[in-house]
Amino acid sequence: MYKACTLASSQLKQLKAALKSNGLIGQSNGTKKDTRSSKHTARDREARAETLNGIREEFNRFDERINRTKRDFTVIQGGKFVRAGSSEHNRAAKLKGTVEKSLASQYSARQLVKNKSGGLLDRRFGAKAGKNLTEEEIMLERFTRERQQSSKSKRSVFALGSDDEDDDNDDGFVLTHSGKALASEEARGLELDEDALGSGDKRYVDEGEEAELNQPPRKKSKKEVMQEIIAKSKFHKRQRQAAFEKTQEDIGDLDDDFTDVMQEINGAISKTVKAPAFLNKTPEELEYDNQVRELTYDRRAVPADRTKTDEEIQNEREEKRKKLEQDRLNRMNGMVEREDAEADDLDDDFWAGSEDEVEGFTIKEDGDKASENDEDDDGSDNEDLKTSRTSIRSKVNAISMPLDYEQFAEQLQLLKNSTEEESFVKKVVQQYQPHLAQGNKEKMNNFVTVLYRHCLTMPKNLDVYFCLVKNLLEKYNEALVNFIRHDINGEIHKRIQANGSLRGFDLINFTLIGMLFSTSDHYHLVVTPTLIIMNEILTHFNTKNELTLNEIGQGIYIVELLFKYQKLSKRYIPETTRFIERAFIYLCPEITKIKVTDLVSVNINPSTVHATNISKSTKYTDSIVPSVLSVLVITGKTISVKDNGVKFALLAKTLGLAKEVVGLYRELLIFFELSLVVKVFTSHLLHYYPNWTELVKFHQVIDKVVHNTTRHKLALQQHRLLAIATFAPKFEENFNPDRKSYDLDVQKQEVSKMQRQLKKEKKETLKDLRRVTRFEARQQIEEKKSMYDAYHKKMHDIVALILTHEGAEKNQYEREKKERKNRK
Amino acid sequence: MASSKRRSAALPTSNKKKSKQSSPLLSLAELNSYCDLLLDPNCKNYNHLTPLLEQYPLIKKELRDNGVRGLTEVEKNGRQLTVTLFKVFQGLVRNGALKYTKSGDEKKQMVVKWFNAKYDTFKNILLEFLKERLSYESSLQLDMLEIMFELIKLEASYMKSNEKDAYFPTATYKKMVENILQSENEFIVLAFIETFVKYWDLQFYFVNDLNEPLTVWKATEQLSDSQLSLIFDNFYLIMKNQLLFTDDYDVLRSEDVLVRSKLPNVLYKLTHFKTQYQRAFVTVLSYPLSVHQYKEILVILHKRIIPNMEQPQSLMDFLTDAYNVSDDSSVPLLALNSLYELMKSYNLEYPDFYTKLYTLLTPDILYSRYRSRFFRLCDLFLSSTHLSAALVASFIKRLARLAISASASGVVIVIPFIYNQLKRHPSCMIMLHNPEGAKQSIQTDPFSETELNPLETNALNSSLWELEALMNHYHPNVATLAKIFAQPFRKPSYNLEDFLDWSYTSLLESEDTRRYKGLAALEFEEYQAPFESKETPNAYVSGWEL
Repeated sequence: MYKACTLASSQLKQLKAALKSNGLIGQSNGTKKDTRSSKHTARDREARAETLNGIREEFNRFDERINRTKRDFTVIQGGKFVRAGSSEHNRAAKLKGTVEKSLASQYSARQLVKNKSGGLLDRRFGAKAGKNLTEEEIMLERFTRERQQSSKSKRSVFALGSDDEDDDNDDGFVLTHSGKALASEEARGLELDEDALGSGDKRYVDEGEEAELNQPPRKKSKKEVMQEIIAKSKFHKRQRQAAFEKTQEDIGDLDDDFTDVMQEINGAISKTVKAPAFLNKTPEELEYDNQVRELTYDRRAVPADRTKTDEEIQNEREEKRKKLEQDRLNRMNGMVEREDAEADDLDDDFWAGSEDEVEGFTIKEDGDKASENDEDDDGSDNEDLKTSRTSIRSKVNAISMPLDYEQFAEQLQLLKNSTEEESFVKKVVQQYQPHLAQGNKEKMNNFVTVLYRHCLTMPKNLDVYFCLVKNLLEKYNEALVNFIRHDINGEIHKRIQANGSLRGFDLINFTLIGMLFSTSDHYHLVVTPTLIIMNEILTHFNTKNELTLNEIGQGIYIVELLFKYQKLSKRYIPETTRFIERAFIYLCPEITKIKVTDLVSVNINPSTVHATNISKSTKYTDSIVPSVLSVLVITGKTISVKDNGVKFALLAKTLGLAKEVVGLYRELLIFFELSLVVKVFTSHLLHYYPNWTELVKFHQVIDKVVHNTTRHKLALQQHRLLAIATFAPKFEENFNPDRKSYDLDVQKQEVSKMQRQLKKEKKETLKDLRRVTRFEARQQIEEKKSMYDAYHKKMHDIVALILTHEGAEKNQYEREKKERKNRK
Repeated sequence: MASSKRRSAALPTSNKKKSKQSSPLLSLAELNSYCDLLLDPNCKNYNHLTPLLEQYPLIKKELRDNGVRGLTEVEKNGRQLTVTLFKVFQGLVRNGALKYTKSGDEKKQMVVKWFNAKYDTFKNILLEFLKERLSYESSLQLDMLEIMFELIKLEASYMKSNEKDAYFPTATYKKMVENILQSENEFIVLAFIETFVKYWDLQFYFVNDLNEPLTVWKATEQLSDSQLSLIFDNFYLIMKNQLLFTDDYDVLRSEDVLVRSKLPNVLYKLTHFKTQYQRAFVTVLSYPLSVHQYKEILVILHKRIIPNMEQPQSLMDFLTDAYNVSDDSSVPLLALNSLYELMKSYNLEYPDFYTKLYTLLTPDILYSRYRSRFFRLCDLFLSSTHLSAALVASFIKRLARLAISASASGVVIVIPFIYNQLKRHPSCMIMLHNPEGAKQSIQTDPFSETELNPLETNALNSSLWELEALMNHYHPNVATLAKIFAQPFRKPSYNLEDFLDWSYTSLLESEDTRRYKGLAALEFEEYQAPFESKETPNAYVSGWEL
């Protein structure tokens, strides 16, 4: 319609047309109409307004509502084809829908029962659920209810009905006992109670007596009732107080009597029993008793430790060793969890030496071990306790602990031989046990460093001092560790930086560190810096253009120590490889004949012959090689390059190092290259010294080793395959685009689901309730309607009946009248 | 006029003659009397100049021959003498007595000539002194140097032919420079440098006039190699400082100059300076150089010198020679920097560059002082992804091989370097991960170490076994670093700069920061003694004694 209108003409024209067609504007037809309209003005006006409204509505398009058919299909409803969702369909569905039916049946069922079937109404006080009254409260409730009821009846004084009727009305609330109203009884009981204030025994009453006392009941005011209650509670309280006082009095009396009673009893006993048993004891027996009593305070006897057999001791020692070895292994492998560190861990921070990273490599001291040490500490302390105490008492002139090395050296000069020195040190140690005085621990720590420094001076009894240091180190560790790290190593480092030469005690220091500390650790506070320094020295030698025999000797000694350090951990030290090659090159005769290409690390300039090379003409004899070299000699005065003995000794040592290389680095994949280098030199040397038995043997070994070494290509990147990180949305099989929320969290999902369900249920329930009420209201209206209809019909019938009767009578009357008239 | 001079000088001359017989050196008192005479404004007798000038050889002889003792007096005399003479000549120059005038008669010309001759002698004497290395490190020489600078200033303002001319006494300065370059006394050179670095005109004329004497010195047979080497050293000492030269004309214009009067415009012609600079350097670099000198000059070449040259390509020959020096491995390393500069900015083509670069990877390189320089460049050269895998593999394998005998600091460089290369050239990963090859066992390394051409070393068939050894490095941090090769290559690249400058010192410093925590682990093996002996068979080290 809307479309047609717009197409036809403008709104104004349409409006005019509409008004005209309804006859509201335009010409009117003559006077006839005028008279008519004047007659029916009111009605006319109404009709006019109505049509005007109709036109208005028609022209206001926005008030038009259109029912959209969502699903355009037809259903058979009540034998007719009806469009789904249309009003026809709905009406039919409303009338004949299953819901409606069930509602109707429910309603009719309820209607049937309503006001017809009975139930039990429990009106007992406190019996209703939820009102959990105590016995007393129930009584009170009952009482007040009854009183209220009786007072209510007062209001009905002015009621029109008689008193009796009133009583009848209240009947349900009158309390009864054994079929009689309670009020009268209670009033009587109160009186009784008042009478019985003294005796208080008269609780049960005979029927006859009761009858006697029965008086007409008198209703009490509320105030009276409350006063009664107060009076009653006061009375009970007084009663309780009296009872309490009475018992108190009784107890007092008994107490007074007690002494007399006891006197009497005592007197009686003394008369009957003359000598008590404990007086009977002899002094010996008393003594015995005392001793027994004392024994109870004595320490409980403990079974003595069984003397261990040798085997057991052996086992124990082995077990301890095994544990230590395990600890060592753990340390060697570093912290286990550090092992598979990510490449990213080695970030810039790592090389910047940040604190965290630094600590990442420190080896955690095993908690067990530390505590064990502590225990050991305590144990020995306890053992030492007595001896030290006694010794201190016995010694009048106590020895003072030397605080620095100078003092120590002074004190040593006073002593004659090494045994005295040893006992002196032991005494000092005993006297400065940490538990004897505060600060002793620091002093002992300091003393260990003093002893260590003394060791570095290489005294004749170095072994003795070494043992002392080693034993003390188990407890006093810190100062020496720091001393070695900072003072000794720092000094050596500075000397090397300044191109200085090594001193004898430097080498001794490295040796002692190797003997004292666990050198196989992944990281060790002392050993790692020492390794760095030793390698720094080697690097210094490695880059030097000309080496002296001294330097070669020092280098060889250091390499030997380095290999000793790595005996168990077998870590690779690149610097040694180069040094060993260089040592060979500096010692072998006619080095220029060696094939350079097989060497790993050194470019031999074919023209250079070093002064240290053994000359071709020198022949090898077993006697030419000294069996041992002195550390002091190689760090001492420059060894003449003409000293063939030293040269051979160094060559022999270098060969020894080569042997070590073969032993140590067998597991490495570059072992082939390393051994090949050694082989190059041995075969070269063999050419000159075929009578050197050790060389010949070693050459055979190395030949075999080189021949037997095989290896595989690396496959280091065999990692678990990892998915490439992707940000494309994954396909989810059960994804429902209609669902409003898409939560991956299962728990949240559950919760929201529950909430939704709850809401839905609530809504539906409300809907149901509304539907039911609506239905009921409709039903009631219908019922009322039908009822009114029925009533009207009935009345109408009656009226009609009466009217017929009256009509008949009237007719008769008329006839009568007519007849009478006719008679007249 | 001359006669009057002679007459008035009679007394001192006789004195002098006497003293010449007894003691060749004048005493301070005698000297003072001469000086007073000469400095007297009324005095016109300049003949005293001659005996005074004759004093210098004697002073020099004294200073050279005698030890430190008693020389202060001689020196004092010398200083007095020099100052006086300077004052005299200063007066003369200011009066214009040294200028030839067209109008003057013959006698006057003769006097001017005589004065000029004396003045030249004086200058020459001073310069001779500068050249010497006297036994006593004399402050006299320093004074003389200062006076030379004063003379240059003096000449610049009074010796020009026309008042308005722009003039710099090039001849005097050139002589001075020549003498300084030949000077055996490095204090003089240093003192010269002190003034030199401040003034642009000194620098300009130094460079401008240098080429000729340098060429002459080299060409003539008189100078021995050691003298040439001395000249080079002095030259290097002077030129290693940053010159005031810039490509910005206005800035250059505002630089300080020694000579305050007007200076020739050529001073500020950029190309002229650059050409002269280049010529001087090319000449000086053709001198026979020691390895040490090579290193010195190469260290500064690419940064200080090449930018100031007009055509740095002319250094090509020198650099190629340096790159091929095989006596010392660090010379080619250092030449690499300048070569790269030439290649980058001046389009130089170097044939077989990578082959040459590959040959530089000698065992010494990881021990070299210049390793960080080299690896920085090497990283740059290998950064192209268009390089063949065989070439990169050769470099990787070679470096790995070098690392097994390198110092800790070298290893620290090599590990991230190889990582970066592997990451950049993933086809080389076969050397790290070869599951097929891991099934067969081989003995010899397919990699040929003697092959000089990196394309034919067969490194791709090899495997990086060396890295496995580095994973067992003695230093815990290095070992952990090496373990990156056994982990997934997740990191895009390592910043090489963080690894280039590690040394044992820095390793030790990082050790110092660690704190003592709990007891340090002890060795539980019981050794009786450090050294073997009869009583102690269970010793730590065998075959050694105290």
